[in-house]
Amino acid sequence: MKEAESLRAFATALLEDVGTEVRDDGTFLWLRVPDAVQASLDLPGQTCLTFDADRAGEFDAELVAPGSYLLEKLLGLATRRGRWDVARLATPPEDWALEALGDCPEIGPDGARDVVPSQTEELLFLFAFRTALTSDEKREGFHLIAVTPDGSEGWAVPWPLQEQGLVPAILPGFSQDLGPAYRTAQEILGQGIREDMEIFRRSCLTSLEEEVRRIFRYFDGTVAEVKEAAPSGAEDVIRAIEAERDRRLAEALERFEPHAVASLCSVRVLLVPTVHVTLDRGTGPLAVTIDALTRHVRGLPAEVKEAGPVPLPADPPSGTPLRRTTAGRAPGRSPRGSTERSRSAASRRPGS
Amino acid sequence: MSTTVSEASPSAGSSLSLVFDDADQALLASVARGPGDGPRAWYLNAEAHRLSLVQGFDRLVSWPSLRGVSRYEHQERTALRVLREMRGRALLADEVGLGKTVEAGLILKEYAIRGLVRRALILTPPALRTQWQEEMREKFSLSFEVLRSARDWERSPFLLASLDTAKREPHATLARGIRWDLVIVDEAHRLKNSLSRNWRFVAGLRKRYMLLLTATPIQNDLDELFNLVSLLKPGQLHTYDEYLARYVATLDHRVPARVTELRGRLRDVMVRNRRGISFTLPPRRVHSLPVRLTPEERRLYDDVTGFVRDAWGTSSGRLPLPARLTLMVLQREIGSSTFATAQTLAKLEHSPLFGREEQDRLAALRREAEAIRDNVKATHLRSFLRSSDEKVLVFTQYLRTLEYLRGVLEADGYSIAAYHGGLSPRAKDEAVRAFRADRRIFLSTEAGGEGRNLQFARTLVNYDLPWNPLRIEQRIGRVHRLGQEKEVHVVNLWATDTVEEYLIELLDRKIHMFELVVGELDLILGDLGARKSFEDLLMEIWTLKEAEERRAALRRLGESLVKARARYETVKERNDAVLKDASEEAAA
Repeated sequence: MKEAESLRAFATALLEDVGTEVRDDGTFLWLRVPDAVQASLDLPGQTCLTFDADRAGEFDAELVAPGSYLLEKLLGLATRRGRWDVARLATPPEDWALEALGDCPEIGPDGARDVVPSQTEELLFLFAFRTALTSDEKREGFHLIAVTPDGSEGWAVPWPLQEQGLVPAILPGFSQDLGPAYRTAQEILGQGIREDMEIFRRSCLTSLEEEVRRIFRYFDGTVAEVKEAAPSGAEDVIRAIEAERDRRLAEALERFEPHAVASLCSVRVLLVPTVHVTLDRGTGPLAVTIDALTRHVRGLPAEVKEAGPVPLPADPPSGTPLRRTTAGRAPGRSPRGSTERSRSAASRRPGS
Repeated sequence: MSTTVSEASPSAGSSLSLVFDDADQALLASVARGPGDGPRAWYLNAEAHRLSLVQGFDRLVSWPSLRGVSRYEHQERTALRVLREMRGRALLADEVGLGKTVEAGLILKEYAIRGLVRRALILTPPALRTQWQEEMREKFSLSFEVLRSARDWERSPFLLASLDTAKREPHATLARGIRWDLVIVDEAHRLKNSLSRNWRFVAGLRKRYMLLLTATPIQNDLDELFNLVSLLKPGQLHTYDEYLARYVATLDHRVPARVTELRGRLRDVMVRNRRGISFTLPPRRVHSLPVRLTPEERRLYDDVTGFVRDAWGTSSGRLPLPARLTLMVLQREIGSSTFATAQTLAKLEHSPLFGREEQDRLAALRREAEAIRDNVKATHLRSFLRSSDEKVLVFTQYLRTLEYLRGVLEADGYSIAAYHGGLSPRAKDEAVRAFRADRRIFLSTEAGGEGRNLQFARTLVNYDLPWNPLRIEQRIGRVHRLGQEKEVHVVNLWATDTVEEYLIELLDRKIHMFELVVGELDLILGDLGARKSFEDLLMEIWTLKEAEERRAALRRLGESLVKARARYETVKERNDAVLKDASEEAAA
């Protein structure tokens, strides 16, 4: 989808969700904005939006595009809302558990044959993080991490997540401490972007070294030239040059020092159909767990993953577990990769 | 306290730590306190974060949100090169008229969208502050404050200041105390001398990115190029002695050596786009329409001028600034229309700036102006408009003159799109659209000058002449710009024996400004060496009591302008000689 189309779909969905009447004539979005929303978006009661800069101003249409005032307002509104959610996923109609097992490269269709799943409804926590690697440039990423309530298992989940079948839910008496699960999510996230962080750090270091070398070469060379021209009596000039060198070095450090930060965007508590299956492996029975939302197969021992010559798909249907494994291949994602990969994964998912 | 997870390498000392936001804990604590906003809101929250991710500099994301900016490949290429390869430190040295300001604005906007620039400082010559402010606001939706007091340094994250003011105390110390994300220096050839206060002030600013803008990095000798590049990237051209030994061939430091190697080193830090074949503009024809005022208009003009000269000259010592500005406005208005003049006279006859006797004179002048029902310049404009059926832009400086012309021309049956500073941005867009669609005449005040693409028309009438030549140039730039395919006609209406005739003498006959590429005039005027603006110089000549004194002063100013233009031509040639092959040809 092109950027303008993505923005259009996002703006329409958000505005409708906050109670705005939206009519889309193919060119403009015509809005009737409720009083409560007008102030937060700085919009009048009736207005129209365009996603095409050439049409901005026609019928007083407000432009929505990267860097535009209204898009910043819309993004601000969206990120202030929906920071946490409790939802229940209805049981998907298809035989999702067997398909998920069949899709799992470590099991495959043959391994999933003749299994008898037993289904329950279990809690699952989803943590959405935004990460930023910054120096004199910036690379951001968006990451979803699923964690079991006790924090014992966690895995990366691609975006977009299946939303079909999700309904608001109430968990009376829910008072669970999310701390352990959050810490697991932090750990999974850290492992997931480890490679990106290291590449970024090295790149910053290379730039810094180059800059520092050049600065020393220049200023030390200049001092030598000054001394040669005036062997005595140039102390003040030399002190000034050295002070300037130190200032430039400090400036270079500020420019190229890498930082990696993460912030929690939202938390979701989910009640998800979950099946427990005992697989008959050659080495004995193996109990695995699959949830209907992420369809990630839990319980596979590390040696199973490492042993098999099974070629891994380029885009696994779900993030691979990092905890309790030594071969976590969950994404060292580039910021853009998180979107592209999850789309292709979603397209392979049954029923999506 | 932030939580930190170090994961990058087994050696914790050399690893990069992932720092988690303190605010995460507050969010965790809020979970299960009341219902959420629903699954849809949760999805939209995630989608909003995803849509606003910053993903390096693989492309320019700001284009769709820019207003009135034509998309030129050389500007896009320049911005990407500066962002990716030069890491935000560059000398933008395009030839005049290729849009260095737009390139700088693009780079700034890209950084701002990515959250990498939150504090920016633009240093300009005093005369260009307002132009920059308007351009940043109208084209890039970036609100810059112009430095007015020392408090502005802390108060305004996006600040515009004249270099002359900023380098002085208390400003210099305050400016150095701030960590700037981006510093832009326009007309950066003023930083040519590394011993100057200008250079030392800019070098002393704490900054992450820096853009130096000049079409002529070499004004006199090759030392200047070294000083500019060293400001951006010390050592890029080696040390000074090495630079002289390698790249300078003569004792006067004007002739380069190893030019290919020098250009190669410059490419890492400088972008210079030059005018390619596709950037050659069609010719511009200038038509001068001198007008003889009617006896009533003549009398009013002379009476107003007499009042202005008396008030300007009788004051003991220097006139207070408000009075000087008022007199300049009055003198400019009488060159525009009697209607604009009458309105101002009505205000001034009660102004405390003037004594009782002067107020009586002003009241008499107002009555004299109000008695005139038509202006002869309008008659000439109407006969010019009847001579062709093309779309025409008519510029005036004053809203009252615009209203008068609108009445006259609509009575003649012309369809008008009126454009002035009192309109909302949307109404301005609508006026441009109406002119493009079916209106014959675009009637505009100065506000019509900025950022609007009107090159679908090719005829422009200066109903009056701003005393600031850059304003005249901006008007012409609305039609004589990239995208214009036809010959452009500029019609200047002016009354004989007025200050406007002086303007025509200086700008048209002496330096042929109407033949210059947009942007060149600025460099010529900047080289006049005068501490006063061109308008002030003109007013000082005009208010001299004796005609002979006025003629002599006009002649001297004309000679200075001619010399400045000649110097500019020399500098242009010098830059071409060194930098030409380091340039890239711009393509429309």
